[in-house]
Amino acid sequence: MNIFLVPYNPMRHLVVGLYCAGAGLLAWWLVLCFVVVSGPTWSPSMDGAIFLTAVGGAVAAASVLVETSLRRAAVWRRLLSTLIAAGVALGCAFVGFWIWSSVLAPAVVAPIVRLCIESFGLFQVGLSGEATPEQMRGLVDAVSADIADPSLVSLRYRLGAFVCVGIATSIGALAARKGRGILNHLAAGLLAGLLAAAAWHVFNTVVASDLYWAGAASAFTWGLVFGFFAWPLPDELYAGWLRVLSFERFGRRIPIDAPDGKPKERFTGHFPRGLDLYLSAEASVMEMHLSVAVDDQHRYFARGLSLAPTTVRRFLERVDLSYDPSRPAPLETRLSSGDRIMLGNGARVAELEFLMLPREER
Amino acid sequence: MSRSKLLLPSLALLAVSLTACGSTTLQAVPNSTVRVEKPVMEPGTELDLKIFTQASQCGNLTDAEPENCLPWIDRGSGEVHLAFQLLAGTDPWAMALDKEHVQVVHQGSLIQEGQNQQRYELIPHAPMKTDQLFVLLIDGSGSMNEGPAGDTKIERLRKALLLPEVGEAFFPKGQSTGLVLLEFSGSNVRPVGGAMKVITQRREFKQLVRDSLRAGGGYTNLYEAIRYGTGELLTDVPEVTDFLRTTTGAPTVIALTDGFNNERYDDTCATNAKRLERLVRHLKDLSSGDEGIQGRPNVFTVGLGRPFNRRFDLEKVENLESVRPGQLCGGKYKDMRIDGQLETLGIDNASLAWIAKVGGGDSFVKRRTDGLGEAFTAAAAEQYEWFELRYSLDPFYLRRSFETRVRLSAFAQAEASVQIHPSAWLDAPSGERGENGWTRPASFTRAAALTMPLLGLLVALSFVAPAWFNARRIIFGRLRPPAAPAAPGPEAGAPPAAGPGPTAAAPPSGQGALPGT
Repeated sequence: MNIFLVPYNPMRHLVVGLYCAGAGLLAWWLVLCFVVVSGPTWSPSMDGAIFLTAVGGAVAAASVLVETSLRRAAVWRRLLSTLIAAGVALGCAFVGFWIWSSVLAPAVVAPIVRLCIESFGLFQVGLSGEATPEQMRGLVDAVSADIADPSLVSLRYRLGAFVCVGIATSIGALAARKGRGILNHLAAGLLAGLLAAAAWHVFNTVVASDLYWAGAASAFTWGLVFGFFAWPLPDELYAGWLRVLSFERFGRRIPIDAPDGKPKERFTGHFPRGLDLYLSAEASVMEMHLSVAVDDQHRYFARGLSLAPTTVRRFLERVDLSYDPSRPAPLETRLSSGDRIMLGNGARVAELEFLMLPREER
Repeated sequence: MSRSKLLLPSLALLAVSLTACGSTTLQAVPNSTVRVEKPVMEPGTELDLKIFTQASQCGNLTDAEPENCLPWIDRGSGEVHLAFQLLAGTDPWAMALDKEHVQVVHQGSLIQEGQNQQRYELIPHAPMKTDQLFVLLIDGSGSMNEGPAGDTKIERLRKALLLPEVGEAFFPKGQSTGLVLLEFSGSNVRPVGGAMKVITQRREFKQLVRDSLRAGGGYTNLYEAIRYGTGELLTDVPEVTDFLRTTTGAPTVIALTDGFNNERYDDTCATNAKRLERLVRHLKDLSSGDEGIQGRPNVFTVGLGRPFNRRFDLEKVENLESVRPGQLCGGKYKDMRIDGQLETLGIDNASLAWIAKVGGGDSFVKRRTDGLGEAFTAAAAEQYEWFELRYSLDPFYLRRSFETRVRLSAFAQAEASVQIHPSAWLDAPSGERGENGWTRPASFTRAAALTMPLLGLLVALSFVAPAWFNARRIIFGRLRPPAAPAAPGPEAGAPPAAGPGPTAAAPPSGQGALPGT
């Protein structure tokens, strides 16, 4: 994966999620292949741990691999980061699954369910009228048995495992990213676990009665959600460019950003010396007509420096930046990719476009 | 903490976690995510019921493929498939089982066809050649001559016995079977044709039926005839015992009657109850004898006519060894005379079913020739080496580990159970539905048929972004130079080449470069 395949449009946010979804799907498929072809060598209580940790580890690794690939990190560094993410995610996922199934579920869920049964009368399915103490005890025992039963297909007692392993996924990715974006990652892991559990449940109850589609849907959802939220594609991977659209000098373009990423301002006009982009005076361009600046937060602005007409056009919007001598500072407006800038008026108008391209596009 | 310092603990954690998985004593079923425990055979039964759980067990069977021999669970359709074999000691015991002869209990609940989406089917596999003796006991009482001329009961019976499929059932090609044809009336049980003989040829059997089968007259001494056919005949008659020494299968006794057991003019159901009890005891003694199941005759009963006690349900009888008159004929008729009264209302289907149940066989009540033919064919049905059992129920009941118990409800006692553990997280692809409505295991390559298109879709979706970006720029004309301006300019009439680079309106020297970059 490289940044040239991810242009600066809204779809770019989805691309990382799609790659992570692919990784989750592959992990599910590989686990299923292993189980079906060679047979599970572990006990049934480990089925969930194997499945969830494989998916969680693969998704964390994919998220980190995508980032290092887009940043053009050295190959060894990509591999090391990916291994760290996968290893930490796998280990934490196993621990998280164990904590849920051995500690949290019996120690927290069971008392809550008991409380619901005894105090609020919930889960009393099949009992008619007022339940006797024996019936209540039987119900509580049945719920305890359900919680301890590793073979039971039930969202109620599996949701926690999804959440624990979801958080483990984010810890794995965080470890490789040296703790950058803790809240992002934790929220993404939590959300991924919850939505994967929901997809798993919907596909094994509403869509079908088996766990084949459910497993695939769960792994896919997990990757998609985690990839989407954990590491949104940062703007720093892109740079703003000014490109000539008018007849004279069509296609000429200059980058706005400085190579070191610091704030920078570029000037356009027909003055023959020192300007960043020269445009012909015959196209109604003034000597010093327009500047485009980028600040330290990667925001781009256009500033009108001439009394001659200077207009920024975008969908359903037209901004006049012509210089007003009565104002202390030139007018300026935020630029976004695809905006057109018209310089001058009359028959010969110079037209520029502002677009975001990968930073490597130099 | 540096990355290399993080890597080591994480790998160690992973190794520990994987080691903690441990092994298990459960058996994984190939091509599925299901595990099974070792089946448990019920002790003290006459036959061992062996449920197959390993591919190596299927290798010893005829006509067995892993897909029909190993357990298979399709949660999508709620189906469970098992295969089993009956064993006498260590040897396979071939049987002619139908689904009515087998009970399936899923997690303590009996599977009943048609109830709560439940259905089940028994598919026999690998017919076995077993040499055996058939004893045919035909009612020769006077009532067999009743009916319109040319279609009396005895005529209907003769036609049924001469049906080609009945001949094929009694004398299958490639097997050495024998048949003793007896007729009973009054207190006599006589060989048809006059001489005691074991018939081994189909042609001889047909000739005997055509020429010698007659109903002489007298009372219907059914119980005594069965007692004789299952006892003395098999142990004391030299022609029969000589033949039995050459056979491997258990003898099959088929008794046909058109009425009630009737030994005296004043017999009633009440008097028959005691006699039936004695016969039941005799049959029980046979089954508990030293010879075991190999020496025990299977008793089938065939009624010719319409059943007298339509409401009779043998399943409701708790103790088969104790017969009460009311159970046979109902309270209203229990003291009614059989001769001339009760026998005109129908045949004693209750005692026929009773005898067949205790005798390890089946009971049929038929009125027409083809029905009789079916009954004889079923009684002499082909026997099979192993059976495939399929049942389906609401998929909800397959959402956790369950026990499936299989038991014979006829012929002999045999029972076994197996604990099945489907995975709580993963399933293999659903089965393919066949023409018979049951699914069969699908190839695992079907999983690739899901995964690969999905991955392809993801790759295609990831290219939507650049495609969208480029399409948008093409549509809005950002990639083609505009037309040359109307006013003559330095470069009028000569459109510049696309892409960056100096045009005719070249900037002054030094322009166009990127100052400060």
